[in-house]
Amino acid sequence: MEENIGRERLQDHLKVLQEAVRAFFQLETGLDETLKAGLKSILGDIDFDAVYIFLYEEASNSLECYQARMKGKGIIAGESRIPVKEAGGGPLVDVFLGKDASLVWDEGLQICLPLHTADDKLGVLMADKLASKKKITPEEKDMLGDYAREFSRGIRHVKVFHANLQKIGMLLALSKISEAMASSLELSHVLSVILKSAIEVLHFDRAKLYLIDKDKKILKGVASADIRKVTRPIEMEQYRIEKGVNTIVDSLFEEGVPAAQRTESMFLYVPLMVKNAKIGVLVVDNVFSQQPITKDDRESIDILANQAAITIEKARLYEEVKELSIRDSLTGLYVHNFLLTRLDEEVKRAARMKEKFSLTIIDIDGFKRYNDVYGHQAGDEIIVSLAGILNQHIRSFDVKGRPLDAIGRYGGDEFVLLLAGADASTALGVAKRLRDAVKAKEVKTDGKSLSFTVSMGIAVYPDDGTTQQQLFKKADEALYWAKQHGKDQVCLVKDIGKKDPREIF
Amino acid sequence: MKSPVSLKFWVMPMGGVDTGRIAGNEIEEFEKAHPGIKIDLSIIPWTQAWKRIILAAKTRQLPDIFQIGNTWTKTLTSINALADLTTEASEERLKNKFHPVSWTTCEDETARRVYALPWGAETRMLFYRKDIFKKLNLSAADISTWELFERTCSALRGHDSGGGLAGVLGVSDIKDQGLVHDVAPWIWSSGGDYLSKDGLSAAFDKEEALRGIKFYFDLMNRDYAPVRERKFPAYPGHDFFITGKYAMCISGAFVAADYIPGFFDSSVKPVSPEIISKFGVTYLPAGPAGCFSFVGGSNLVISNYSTNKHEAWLFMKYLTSNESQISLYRSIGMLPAGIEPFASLFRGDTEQEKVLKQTYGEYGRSYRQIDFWGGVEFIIAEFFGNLIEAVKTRKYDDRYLASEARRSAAQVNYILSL
Repeated sequence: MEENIGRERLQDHLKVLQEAVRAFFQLETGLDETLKAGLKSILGDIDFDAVYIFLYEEASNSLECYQARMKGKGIIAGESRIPVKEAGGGPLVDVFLGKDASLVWDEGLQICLPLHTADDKLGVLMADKLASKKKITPEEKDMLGDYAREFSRGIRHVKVFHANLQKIGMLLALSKISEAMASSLELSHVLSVILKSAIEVLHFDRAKLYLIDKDKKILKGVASADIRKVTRPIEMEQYRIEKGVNTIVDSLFEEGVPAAQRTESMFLYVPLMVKNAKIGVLVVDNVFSQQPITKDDRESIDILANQAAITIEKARLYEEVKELSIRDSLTGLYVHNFLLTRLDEEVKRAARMKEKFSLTIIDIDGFKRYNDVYGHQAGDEIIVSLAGILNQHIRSFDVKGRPLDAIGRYGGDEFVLLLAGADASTALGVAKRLRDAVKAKEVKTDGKSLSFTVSMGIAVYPDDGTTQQQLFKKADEALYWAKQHGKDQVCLVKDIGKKDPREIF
Repeated sequence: MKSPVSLKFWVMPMGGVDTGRIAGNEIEEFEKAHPGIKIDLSIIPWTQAWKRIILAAKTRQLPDIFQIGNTWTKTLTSINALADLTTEASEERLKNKFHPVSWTTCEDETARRVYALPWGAETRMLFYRKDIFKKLNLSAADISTWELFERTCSALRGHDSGGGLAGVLGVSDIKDQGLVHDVAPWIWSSGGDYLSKDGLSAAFDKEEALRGIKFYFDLMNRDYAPVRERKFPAYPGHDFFITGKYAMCISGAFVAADYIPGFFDSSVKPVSPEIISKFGVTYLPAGPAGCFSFVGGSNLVISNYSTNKHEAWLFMKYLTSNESQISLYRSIGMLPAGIEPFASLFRGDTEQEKVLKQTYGEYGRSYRQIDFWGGVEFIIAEFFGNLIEAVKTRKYDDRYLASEARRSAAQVNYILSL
């Protein structure tokens, strides 16, 4: 170096170089700012007209002009994205690929040097004297070489530092996610935390969660969240679990490949595994922002997915236990207490939405006789048979997953039917269909064929009452009237006292 | 003494390498008038801008104030990245001060909220070499419809301009959002659009739109607009206005203002009347559905996460003042989006001013403002970039066009299904 540069000039150069390099180690400053200052230093130190830093972008396999500065004009930026290819890439690419250690071209007016460390190609540093049309001297080439070498180390240092910082931040965030997931075993809470975390902590554009329904052998969409912080149900997405249906289902069939490697362009499909069994798939993508999914992203989503799978499974078991506690063991219908809770909810919902709903109490006519004559097993079979008919005639959930109708076993042979949004006429229609279905049913028990009938009393909110107690009382009165006046019939509260309730049909 | 507030400011290149100087001049003036505020400028190439802004929005590291393509406002609003400027804008009665076509890109019309201010507009026009046209006895009327345009292209290709004419028409082959704006008028002129009327699905794979896309890329494929021999992707301005390699060029007013000052605005001292007289400008050729052009430009926005919103607003107001808009046009040719500065610049009645005013005010259109336009625009740019690559590698044909359109439409539909 000293051969080309005088001692005094060298000292000045080293001083400026040292200052520029120091900026890389002031870690609170980002790479943008550091390189901006670095280019300014080069122009202050060496008599170039313009200087450019191109950094390699893996996603587009190109050299991107990251920062540029021109003497007298300050910061500049060209629209430069140079594809990296083996042949015909041009001087910058050739230097980047190591084909040339450095290049001076355009009759000595432009120069380009590589930015690299022993194990990483980072980009190129380019400078020119196009405006002044003076040739670049060997001394200037050496001095620029110093910057290229030191900037390479600096860039690598900043990148590693920020990558580590990001990893630490991510681990902290993931530990917070675990805490949030564990704070409740409600499945809806767990699912919401998973989706929210994928968007707000791991910064994906969108996350979609699918769970396997083992009984139906389908993969069912649960919910989707995106960077607008909009979450919506995706139950309409249901796929048969067969190879070739789509990429989401196919990701369930891949064996032995780490989840983190299962990517398709800007998508990532991460199977949710519990003890080697797949329970669903978490799909994340960056299609909207067009950002590549990095190795770090993949590692983070894998950690989230592992944690998510375990928590979802726990929450599902909890829901199953909870479900068992609210179901009648013989019929599988809701038990009395849960039905009252559901009715309270419906009263509130209907009041808020200014809607109607109906409450029907169903009683098997002469049930005691079946028990006495044919035995308790026959009685049980009639009850199970009626529960089956009721189940066939009601809707469980609407398209948004909101519970609609509910049936419960109120007592021995009494059942309760709650029809959301149903007025008197709708409730009567359903009741008629139920009565006809019951009459047509034959229960085979102990070699005998039994038939039975039911009576029903219907109360409508808010016409017949605005509280759970009032509605039960009124529906019970209507049922009593139907029983008293011939059985096998339906009576609305407003028809109590009429001579023949059957007239209402 | 209170230390000055430092405002981070990101801009993209407008007028190539002069951006730093232009922004630098404005900054210097502003800092003089507001000693308590310092502006920290960074320039981001357009090719990186979308990714970097979105990444910064996701990680809440946006600069205090920044420039965006004016088709991105709704997208950034939907992810809560932009500060609501409704109160400030209404106090200053700004809505009536800007051209409606530019103002609509700043406002969420449904919610009646303002999130941006226009910072320069531009519109696509067809520039042509009067000297060459004259030799062949051609005029602007001969490129006024698709049919005539094609016929003229054919006539010009056979013409020997005395050497140096590399092609009939200069177009960009850089894979960025600019391509989407270049092709848009051809799609509209053929009766199609990028998206369906309700904005819920892609429409560029439908017959009408494909007709416009095909017309445009066929110009490249038939070497009327040659891209095969280029070593690096390029914008056509330099080769049209300076080296004279093309007989026609589709570009914005800013390109003409940059290369031949005084072409549109007679108050600017022209480079030389002789040079100006060599060039003409006219409307983009009318297709089956009529004549259209794209109106684009940039907006300035303030980050919703900025802790210096008041200072950022002061700077934004300064940059969008009438004086700054005029100065922006005079230095880099970005048209003023403000009604007053526009009128004060273009008071003449030359042919070129007439074309500019009518294109901007009458034939100009922008895109439907939807939440995910930013991502959609990126995919369409990829699609057109692939078509250019196919032209270069001689893979381009009708089947390739249709299958790429279907593939890209599926990606767009996926984004829109969010």
